Amino acid sequence: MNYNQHFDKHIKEQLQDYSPQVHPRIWENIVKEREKKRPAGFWWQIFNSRNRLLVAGLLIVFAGGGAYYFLKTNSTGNKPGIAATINNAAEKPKSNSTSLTAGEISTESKPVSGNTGNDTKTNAANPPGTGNNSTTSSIDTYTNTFAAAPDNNDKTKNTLGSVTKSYTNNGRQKITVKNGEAAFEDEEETINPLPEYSLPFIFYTAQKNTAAKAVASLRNRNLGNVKEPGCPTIEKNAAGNKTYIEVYGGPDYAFRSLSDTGNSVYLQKRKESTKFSSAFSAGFRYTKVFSNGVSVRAGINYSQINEKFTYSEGNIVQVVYIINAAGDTIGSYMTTGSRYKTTYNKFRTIDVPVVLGYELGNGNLHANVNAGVIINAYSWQKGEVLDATLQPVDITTGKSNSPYQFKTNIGVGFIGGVSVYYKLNEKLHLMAEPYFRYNLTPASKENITFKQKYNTAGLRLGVRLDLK
Amino acid sequence: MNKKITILFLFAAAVFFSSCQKNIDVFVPDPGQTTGPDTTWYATVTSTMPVASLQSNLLVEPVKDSVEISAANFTYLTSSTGIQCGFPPLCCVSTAGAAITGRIQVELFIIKKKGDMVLMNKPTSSNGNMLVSAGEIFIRLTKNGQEVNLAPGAKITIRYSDLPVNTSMKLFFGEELSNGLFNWIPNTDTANTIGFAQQVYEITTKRLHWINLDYFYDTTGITRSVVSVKLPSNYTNANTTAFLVFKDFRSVLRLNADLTERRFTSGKVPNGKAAYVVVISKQGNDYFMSKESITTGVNTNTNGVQALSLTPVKTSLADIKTWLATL
Repeated sequence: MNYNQHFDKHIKEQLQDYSPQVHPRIWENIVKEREKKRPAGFWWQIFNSRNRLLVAGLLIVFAGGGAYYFLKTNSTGNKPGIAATINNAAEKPKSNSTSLTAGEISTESKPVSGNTGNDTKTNAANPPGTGNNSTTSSIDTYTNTFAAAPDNNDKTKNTLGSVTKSYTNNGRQKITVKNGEAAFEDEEETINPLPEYSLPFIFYTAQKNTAAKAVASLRNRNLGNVKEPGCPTIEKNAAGNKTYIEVYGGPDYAFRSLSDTGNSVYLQKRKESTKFSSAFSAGFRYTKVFSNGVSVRAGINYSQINEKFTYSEGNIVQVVYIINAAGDTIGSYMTTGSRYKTTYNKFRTIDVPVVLGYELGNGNLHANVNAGVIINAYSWQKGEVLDATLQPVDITTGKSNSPYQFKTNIGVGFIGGVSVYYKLNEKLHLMAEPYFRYNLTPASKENITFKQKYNTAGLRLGVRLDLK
Repeated sequence: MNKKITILFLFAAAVFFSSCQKNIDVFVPDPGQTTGPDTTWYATVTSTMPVASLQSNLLVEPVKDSVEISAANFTYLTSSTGIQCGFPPLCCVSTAGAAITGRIQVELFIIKKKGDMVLMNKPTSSNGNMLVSAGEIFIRLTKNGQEVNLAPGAKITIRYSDLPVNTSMKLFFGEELSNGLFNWIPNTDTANTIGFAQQVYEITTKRLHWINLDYFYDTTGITRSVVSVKLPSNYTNANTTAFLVFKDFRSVLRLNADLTERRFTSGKVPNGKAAYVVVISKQGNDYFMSKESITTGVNTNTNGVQALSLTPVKTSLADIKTWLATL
């Protein structure tokens, strides 16, 4: 096994069960960041706290491992301005250099020729500080001073063994790497020795004892009464498997369509005499959301459309009666003028909507896209419209049996909407829902050719109470 | 959160109140229109005023008949009213003076009931003097829609029955006055005569149209007073007529408009006589009537005026005619 393989094995063994200690203040800051408003895009959910830590950890590991690998295989002393070059694993170390030139000084390392002398063994199983080499990769702050004097020796501690640098008279740097198994040496030729300078390198040391000391020192500090927040959790089954009831209300807009055979004058006069004024709806409903997000919803809905009817007639003779205290009509007089009539028609319905939908979302925002049928239970009206003689006629339900009255049941229609929920707490949500309703049949009676139909769109606002 | 709840509440309130708007039904008079009843008393009553319409609507339709005018023989007409008319030969001429023979139309009716005198607006007074009537007759001749007159010197005979026959009756002819008033003029032509038979009056006259048999009510030595009627302000001479109908004899007096006092007043009438004060008015398309039974001369003031205050009430035309028929 070559050096690189040893390195990989060592990294794997050392980091396999790695779990860094994090100060509580970090959790506190993370919670604060979570409470800030952030876009509700689904993509944001990817970068929750756990994933971010994992990514950060991976980045650190790869950076540290890469740096360590670089330092170990290619540390340099005389290269001007250049860090020690790490030889890659593909390059085999030279061995058995048989000659030492004059002036060469060998310290602890044995001559390459084979005398091991004080070999230091590399034992990956032995932890550092036990007299043996450290079992974890270590990256020390290292200052490599390049000197022209050939008598500078630098010994770099590494866990794989010892590295001895010696300088030959010709300026060539001789590096001897000695591990528990074999010794090899490599030479790098220094072309131009440079004046002394420093090149600092900073590497993160992930030694357990070092980290433990740091945490212990921080824990001993008096940081005040800091409440440690609970670990944030991800909402399980966010949209599915829910049951809730809602109460809502809101404004509507009614789209009216009028038709008659032959585009009659009567049709034109009816259009001119009535105008949409306002509309609203309110109700309550029950929704069951299954685990797959599909929902079923039913309820009771009340809708009201207000319409303004205007009528005017000139050359009217008004007779005013004079009535005495006894109730007798004791006189009258006539005045000619014009009559102006304004009546606010009201079209009211009670309906039962039954819709299917799909609910999705997580966290504070949910959405339910739904569509279905709306069944009219009862309709009633109040007000006036023009009859065929262009005179006002009462359409109030139950007052007469005029053909100009409207139906008391307009049948089935279609309804669809998108409910958006904002979570207040575990039980309550605020609801906003734009919707559209399409009625299949006209509201006017069948025994006249004139047809009047309403379709509505609106915005419902309400409150949702989760039952489960 | 409180701000959001407040906004939602205000919005809901706006929607709620917008659906509670009141219906409107107003009448806007044309410019220049009176906004109340006409309370003006007029010096001259024109045919366009409501009172003219009132009187027109109260009129009784005459009986229409026809008779053949002969060139040689007397012809008689007996109408369903009980009047018998005798026409001598060649008694009729056109307005141009041409002799008319053949069939002519006759409009004829006789008024013996006091209620009919009110309906026909034919009180029994002559130049302000109270008359007692034996019956008012109207006769009109036409041919092909054209008025037919009696030939100069020709006289027709009118006979009708009445009980009792009063030989004091004199012949009067009617005179239509302005302001809708009517007056009876005493006959001064001796060619016109009255015959008395048992239960029958026979009038021979050269005149057509309104003919009356009356006598002046003798008020010598009888205290008389004036009946004055006060009505609500919306009753004026432009829309109201008032009569004094005596119960015990066939005499009807019309109460005249006193523009100064804004009242309807009679001439001097004998005290102590039972009578009805009848007020009829037309306002708009509605009729109003008041009837008050009085005794003349009661509660008169120092000026001899018996002041009454009446308030007519809305009454249908049919009901007015029905009650008058009881007089």
